[in-house]
Amino acid sequence: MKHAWRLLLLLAACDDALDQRLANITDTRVLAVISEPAEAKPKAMVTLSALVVGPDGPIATPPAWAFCIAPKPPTEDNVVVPGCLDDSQIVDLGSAATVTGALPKDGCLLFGPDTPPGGFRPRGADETGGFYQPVRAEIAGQFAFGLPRITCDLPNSPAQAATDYRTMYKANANPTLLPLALTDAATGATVSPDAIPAGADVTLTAAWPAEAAERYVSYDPGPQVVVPRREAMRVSWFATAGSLPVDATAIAEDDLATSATTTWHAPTTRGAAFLWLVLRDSRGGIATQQLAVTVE
Amino acid sequence: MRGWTAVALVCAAAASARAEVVRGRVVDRTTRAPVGGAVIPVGGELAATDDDGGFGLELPPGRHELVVTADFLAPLTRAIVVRAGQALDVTLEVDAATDATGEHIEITGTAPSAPGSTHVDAAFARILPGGGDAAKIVQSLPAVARPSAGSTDIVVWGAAPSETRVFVDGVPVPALYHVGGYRSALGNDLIGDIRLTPAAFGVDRGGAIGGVIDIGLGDPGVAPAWRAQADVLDGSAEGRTRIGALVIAAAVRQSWLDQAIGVVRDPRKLAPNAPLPRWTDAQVVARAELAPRLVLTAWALGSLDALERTLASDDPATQTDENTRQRFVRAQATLRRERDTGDDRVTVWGGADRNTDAFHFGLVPANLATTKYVGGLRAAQADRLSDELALAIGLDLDGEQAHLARLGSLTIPAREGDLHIFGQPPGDDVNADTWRATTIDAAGHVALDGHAGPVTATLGARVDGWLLGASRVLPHIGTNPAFGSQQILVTADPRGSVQVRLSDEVVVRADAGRYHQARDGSDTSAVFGTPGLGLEQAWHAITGAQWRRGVGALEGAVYARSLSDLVVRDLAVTPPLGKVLTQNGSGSVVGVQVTARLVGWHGLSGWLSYNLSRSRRTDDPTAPTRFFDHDQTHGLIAVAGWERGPWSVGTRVRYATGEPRSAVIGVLFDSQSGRYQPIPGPLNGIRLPAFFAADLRGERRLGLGAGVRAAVYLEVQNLTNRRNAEELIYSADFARQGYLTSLPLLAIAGLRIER
Repeated sequence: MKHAWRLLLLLAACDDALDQRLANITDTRVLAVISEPAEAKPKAMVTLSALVVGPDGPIATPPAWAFCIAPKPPTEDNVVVPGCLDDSQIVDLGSAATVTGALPKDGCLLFGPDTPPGGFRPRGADETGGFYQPVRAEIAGQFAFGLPRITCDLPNSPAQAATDYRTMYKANANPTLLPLALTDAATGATVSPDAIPAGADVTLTAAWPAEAAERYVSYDPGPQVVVPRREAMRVSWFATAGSLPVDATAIAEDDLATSATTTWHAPTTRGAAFLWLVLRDSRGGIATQQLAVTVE
Repeated sequence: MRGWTAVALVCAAAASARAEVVRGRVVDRTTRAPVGGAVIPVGGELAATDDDGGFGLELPPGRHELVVTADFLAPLTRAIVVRAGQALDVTLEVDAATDATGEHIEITGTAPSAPGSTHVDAAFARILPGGGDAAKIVQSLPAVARPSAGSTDIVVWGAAPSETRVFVDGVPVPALYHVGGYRSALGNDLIGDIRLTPAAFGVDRGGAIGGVIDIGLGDPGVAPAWRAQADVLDGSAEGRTRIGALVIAAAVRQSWLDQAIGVVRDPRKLAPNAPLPRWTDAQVVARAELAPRLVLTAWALGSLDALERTLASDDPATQTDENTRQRFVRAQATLRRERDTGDDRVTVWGGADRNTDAFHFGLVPANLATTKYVGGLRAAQADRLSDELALAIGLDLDGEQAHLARLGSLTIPAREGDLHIFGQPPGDDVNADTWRATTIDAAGHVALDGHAGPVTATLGARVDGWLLGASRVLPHIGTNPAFGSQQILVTADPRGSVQVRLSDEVVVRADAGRYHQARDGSDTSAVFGTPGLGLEQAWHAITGAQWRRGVGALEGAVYARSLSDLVVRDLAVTPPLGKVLTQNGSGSVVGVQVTARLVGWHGLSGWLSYNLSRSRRTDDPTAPTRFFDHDQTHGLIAVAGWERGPWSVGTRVRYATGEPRSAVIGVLFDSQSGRYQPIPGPLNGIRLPAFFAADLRGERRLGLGAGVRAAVYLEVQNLTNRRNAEELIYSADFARQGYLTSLPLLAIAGLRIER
């Protein structure tokens, strides 16, 4: 076995200097690339946008958009191959805060289970049964990839499962977020974002409607049947000041909770700060929210 | 002693027709003082110990009874096995005549046979750093690359771990070490000797294109009546009994490392990345002399490992859960008859392996469950045809039926040559398959040894008939019937050696041969592999010279290995259905090894070995050549064990070039997972920093009376407290790089009591 996963067994000590917390916004970063709708068939129109932030708040610089058409071999661990960084293997969509374009018509061949004639191996779906069309957003030399889900047929599946899937599957929709709630971690009292005490511990509660965690069917490659499932949810927390104990909070697909909380330790100095939430469902849907706060 | 110099390198079967030198020393069991004036008759030979307790004999290969007698000693009778081409050093521990306690023998020897080969007795191995575990010595032998911390991999002269095979008394076993690499999976108490042949091994071993490690279980008759040992890692107990002509010894070991650390501190805080597995192993060995020169031996051994842990993360998407179970059992029976002109041996063996590996990298699962039933038959006959000629013939039959179930990403488990960055999540595609794989190897082998003047030559051949089967050639779809794959292959592998004795002290020798091994059954999935995979092939060539004088020897070897038809991934964007692995891989290994050895000089034995090697692989004829994942250009190791009176001290000093890794040359952000992903540079284009470590082990033996002896030991690993880099690690955005380092200075103390 190669070192890659066996080394998880190391009797070893880590380098604390590398213990980077993505929740702390200290430089310009893309937090999310959002497709609307979250899932569509090839050739369908999608609208793309990005949440780009920096230590001083949101950044309005428009990204350069492109669909990647460099296919991914099954041996590739990344979501895209390095070829997607090459301008010769993209479909340019221009630069704008928001762009609209048609998903490449051969998406299910390049990134899905369709194969050319001649007996080739279909690509495997992800854990939720999905395939994705990479879309590139380039900002200041940084590459971020959004992954609109593309609706493709099931590969190499029993006829009954293929029929069930075709009739029962519902395309993914982006989740929605309810307004971020701020409460005093000690008392539970509501905290105004315009007057947060310096150094206070503030409970952040991200909530979403129950229907945001959609029910769907996916193909289980083991027993080769279509099974009902519910989306798992994950909230990523970000702040330009203060500190957060975790980068993200997960809600498993068997957990019916419709909210997640964490505690933001407000900075001890006065000033403005920004908080962001990125809510992801397990099929690739994304919702974001921004909150400007003032620490007094 | 000058004649012994030449004998040491005589090729195996030819040497079986001639006498081998057995040197020894008789010491008081309790005080370790030399015992002079003892008499040791063996057959027609008779030796007497000198003032230093030393003696020498020349004995033909085979089993012999050494009887140590003197007026002032309790008679001691002990069996030794003289192997062809192997000089042997023995230490006989005796008791005074008034002491009627049990008998004990320890055999120590480090004499080489073919260039690069090493034979070590378990008693010597136990005094060296390695936790007192005899088989741990394998990781410190010349020709063996420095293993990563916690690794159970054995890399021999640039061969991948899966290309080297481990045998116990000729029976293949799936693992030499328990999970985590702390201990041997074969136990400790009943191991007799360890032999490494890093390349160009003889016709009697097959199914490997790298090296061969032979573990010999000791004669149960020489085991202590009982023994108990405990330290922070585990505890073990051993016992021996005699029922008529039948001698049985049994041993069992149980780990408690996880509980011991838990008593002191929360293991997650002590070393979050450290594996704290649980292991158990047990062995039973029996021997009976059914008639004069007709001996039946049988043994059974089993090993169980379990590891459960979670590598927590600030983000659940990158949390890793691991649950591993590894179990195997082997049993064999061997009937051996000695004749005046040779010997005959028949072994029947069988066993089962059951492994389950369940990982979760965030949401991506990677599960593999394997059940294997294995068995075989080995028969061999050696005959001295004349004073100049010897003939050895044999038959090997190995069979394996594997049942496998796999779920998860194609890229987990990773393979040799995968382009991967530590911390990078696996591919998110998920698949599933269940399948069966059959592997049968029926082989016949013959070796003819000739001796004329200073020249000794061996010419041998091994002919294997392989039956390789897989239950499906295409992925399972609904109720479609399965069409399996079966192939019958025949290979004929020539192997041989030529040796010239230039003087009583200098011998030059060359060995070469061709080798084959079957694909792993786990690679024959129609979803995750290729059912029709066949055989991997290698050519080996070694040439070397050895100079020996007295207790010292200097040996040089130049080696080369050419590998072809290696199983590798198909890197195509869309590989053919049911064929994601190919046999387009190839490789080459070239190197030079220089080793100085010392055997029994004032109680000091050991070796100093330097290895310069380059191991490269090509994954496809159109792909660039790259470094082998475990390539180590420079390897220097010094091992010494010193015994004096009640004290023994062992030390190991090692330097090795860092292993190749792939650099991160860019980064991209994956919006779906919210994590960064590295863009790797050329495969294995950079290296980890060099490794250096010094370890020390000391033991003090005490006589407790009534034949009971105790020993306390202390082992200190990484004496210099150097933080060796074991892996490249990165910040979450892969912008900063650091090292995952091995543990600092670590001390382990323990106690052993035996009678």
